[in-house]
Amino acid sequence: MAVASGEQGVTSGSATEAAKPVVIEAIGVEKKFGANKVLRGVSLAAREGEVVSIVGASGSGKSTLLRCFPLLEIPDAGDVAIAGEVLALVERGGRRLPRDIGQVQRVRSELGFVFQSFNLWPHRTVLGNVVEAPVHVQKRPRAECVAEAEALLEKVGLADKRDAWPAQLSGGQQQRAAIARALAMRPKALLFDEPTSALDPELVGEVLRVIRGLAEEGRTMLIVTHEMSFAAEVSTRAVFLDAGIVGEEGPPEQIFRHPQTDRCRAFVSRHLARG
Amino acid sequence: MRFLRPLAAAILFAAPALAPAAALAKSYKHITIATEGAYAPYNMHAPDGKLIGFEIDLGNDLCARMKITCTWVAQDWDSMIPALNAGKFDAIMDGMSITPARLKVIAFSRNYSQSPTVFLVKKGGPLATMPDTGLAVSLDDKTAADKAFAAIKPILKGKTVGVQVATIQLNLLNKYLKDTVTIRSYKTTQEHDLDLAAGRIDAALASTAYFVSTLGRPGGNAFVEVGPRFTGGLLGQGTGVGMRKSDPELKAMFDKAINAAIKDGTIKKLSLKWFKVDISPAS
Amino acid sequence: MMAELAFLFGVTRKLLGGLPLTIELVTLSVATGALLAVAMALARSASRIAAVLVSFYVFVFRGSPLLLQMFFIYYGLGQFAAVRDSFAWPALRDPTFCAILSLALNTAAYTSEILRGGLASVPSGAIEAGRAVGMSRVMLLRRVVLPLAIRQALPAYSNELIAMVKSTSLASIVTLMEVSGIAYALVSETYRAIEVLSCAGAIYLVLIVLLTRGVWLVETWLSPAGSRA
Repeated sequence: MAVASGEQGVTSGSATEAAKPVVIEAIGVEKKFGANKVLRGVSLAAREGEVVSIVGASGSGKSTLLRCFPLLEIPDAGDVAIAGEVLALVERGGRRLPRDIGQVQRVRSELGFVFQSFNLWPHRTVLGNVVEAPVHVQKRPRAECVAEAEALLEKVGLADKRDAWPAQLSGGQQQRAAIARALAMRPKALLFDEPTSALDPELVGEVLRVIRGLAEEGRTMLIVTHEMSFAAEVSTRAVFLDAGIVGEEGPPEQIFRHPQTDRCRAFVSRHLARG
Repeated sequence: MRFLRPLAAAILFAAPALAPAAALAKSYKHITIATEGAYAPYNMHAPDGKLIGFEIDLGNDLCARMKITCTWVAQDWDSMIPALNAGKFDAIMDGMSITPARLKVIAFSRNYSQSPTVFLVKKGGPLATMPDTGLAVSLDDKTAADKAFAAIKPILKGKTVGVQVATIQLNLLNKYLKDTVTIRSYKTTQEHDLDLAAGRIDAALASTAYFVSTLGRPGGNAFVEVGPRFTGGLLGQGTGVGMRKSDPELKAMFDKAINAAIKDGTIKKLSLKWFKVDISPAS
Repeated sequence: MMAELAFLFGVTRKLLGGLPLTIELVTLSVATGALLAVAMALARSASRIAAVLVSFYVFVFRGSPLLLQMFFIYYGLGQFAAVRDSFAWPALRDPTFCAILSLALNTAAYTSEILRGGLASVPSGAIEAGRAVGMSRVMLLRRVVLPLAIRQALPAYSNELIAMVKSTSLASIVTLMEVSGIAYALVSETYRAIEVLSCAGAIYLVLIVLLTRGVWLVETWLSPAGSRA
C-alpha cells in the first residue's frame, strides 16, 4: 500500500497510553540537505514512559529526525515541541533560526542526547564528563553533582573508571559513560542516535543492557537503531521511517512481526534475523 | 686508529687556509679596501650602488701612487676590525680615528684627515644655547678640557645624546659625561640623525666633517653645531688607514703615499671638493 | 689560561646585564601578541569582513621581515610630523615601546595562524555534545573549544616562543641594550668576536632550554598521560 507524502501511515495505539502527557513531538517536520529532501513531513509524538524505537533504511531520515528534537538540525518546515513547549523558529535572511536561543539551550539541557560516536570531551575524565553540564549549564552545586555522577557511573558499570580518560576506554565503556552523562542532566526524555552502530559486536551487548535497564525504569526514550531484535524487545512503540515519511507506526508486535504495509514488511524481513 | 692518518693529512692541508691569508703575501700587487658606504661625505653609496666619497677618491689616488690596484668592499662599522684581522680585506678607510685602544690590535698609517668632534642639536631647542660654541679644546690639555666640560655640564644635565656605537665619540661620552647625560648608541650615523630630527634625542655627537653631510641634506638647516670643538686625547690623532700589524710593508707604502698627497695638495683639493672645508692634516 | 677565563667571566657578567631587558621584551610582546591572536581568532569566526581584515594582517606581518617591521615602526613612523604631534608620540618615542609593539604585532600574526589550526582540530563531536547539553556559545568556547584548541596548538606554539626569544636580539637595532646589543658593543670594543658571541649564544641557549622545559611542564599538566585521544 503506497503512502502519500504527508499522510501518516498505519497506526494503532492503546487507550491507557493516550492519557499520559506528550513529552516529545514533531509536527510536520521537513528537512532537506541541498537538493536531497531527507524528511518530507514527519509527525511523531512520544508520551511519558514510552520507549519509541525508530527504524528504517539508511538515508530514510531517522537520525535527522532525532536531531531535530534538540534543534541540532533545524527543520525547514514544521515544528518540534518538548513537554508541550514549541521551540519557536523565525525566518531570518532566508534561513530558519531559533527565535530565542536561550529557550533552545534550556530545553536542550532538559533532554539527554546520546550520539553514535559517543562524543565524550577528551580533556575531561569520565567523572568530569558526567558533572560538566550539571555544574556549568544547570548550575547545580558541585558536591551534589559529583555524588549523583558517581551513582550513575555505578549504575552503568563504570564506577572504577571515574578517573579514567575517554581515550583509555573501549567503545562500549565510552558509550556507557556518555549515557551516564546524559542521565546526569535529569532529562525529561532520552534520545539515542544509533547508540551501538559504532561499536564492535562484542561491546554492543553491554550498552544494550544499560539501555534496557533504563527502559525498564519507565523513562521516556526515543531510540534510532539498527538492532531490530533489541528494538522489538525493549520498545513500547515502533516507527518505521521510509524515505522521509512515517511508513508505518504501531506496537513492536505489529512492526516487527506482522507489518501491515508492504514496504515495512520488505524492510523487516531483510533485516530481522528470525521469522 | 685508521682515521688518524687521513685526519692528519686533512689538517695539514687545511693549515695554510687557516693562517691569515695576507701573511703569505709580502709584495702587494692588489689589495682590498673596506669602507662603510654609510658615512657621508667620507664614504657613501651612490644611487646606482657604487661606492663614492672623499675616501674612495683619496684611496684610489694613494693606490695609484703606490702602483698597486685596489678594489673596494662595503662592511658594517661595528665588525670592521675583527674582519680585517680575520683576513677578509687588507685595509680600512672609514673615517677611523687613530686611537691608543685601536693601536693595540691593528696598525695605522699616518693620519690623512683631521676633524674635531662637536655636538649637533636642533635650532631653537633646549641645547641650542650651549656655551663655548666654536671653542677649540684639546683633550690632551687637562685643564682646558676640565674647564670646557664644567661649562657644558649644567645645560647637558638629564639630556639624551645619540652617538654611533664603538666610536671615539662614545668613548668621550663614557669618560666625561656618563653621569650627566643618557647615552643612546646607534648602529649607523644616519639613525641618530633621524632620531635627532624626530626629537627622540637632544643632541648627536660626531665629527664635524661628518656633520657637513647632515647639514647639507634637505632639512639640514634645522640643525646647528654647538659647544666646544674637541680634538686629541682619546679622540685620537685624526683618521688613518687601518691595516693588520703583520703588514708593516703595506703601512710604509701608505705612509709614503699620504705624505706625498699632503705635500702636493691633493688631500686639500679632495677635502674642499667633498667637505667644502679643508680637513687635511697640518703636516 | 686564567686570563682567558677571567675575560670570559667578565664578558658574561656584562652580557647578563642585558638579560632583564631581553626577558622583559619577550614576556610583554608574547603576552600582548597572544591576546591579539585570540581576539583575531574570535573575530575571524564572527564576521566575514573581520575575517578578511585578519587575513590581510597575517599576510603583511608574516610576509615581511621582522627587522623591517621594527625599523618601520621606530624610524619610519618617527619621520611623520602627524605622528610626532599625535597622542601616541610619548609611547612611540620610546624605543622599548616600539620594540615590544613590533615584536607583539609580529608574533600575533604567527600565533593567530597556530590558533586557527588548533581551533580547526577541535573534534566537531565534542562541540556538538556541548550544544546538545545546552551550552551557550560563550560557554562552549570557554569550556570546550579553547581548551581543546590550545592543547592541540601548544607544540606549534612552543616553536613560536623560541623564535620570539631569538627575535628580541633585533631590538639592538633600535638602540636597546639587551643581550645582543651589549654583545655587539663588546665585540667592537674588545675585537674578540668569537669569545663574546659564544658567551652571548650560551645565554640564549640556557634561556631557551628553560623555556622548552616550562612548555613541556604545561603540556603534561594540560594533557596528563592517557588523556590524548
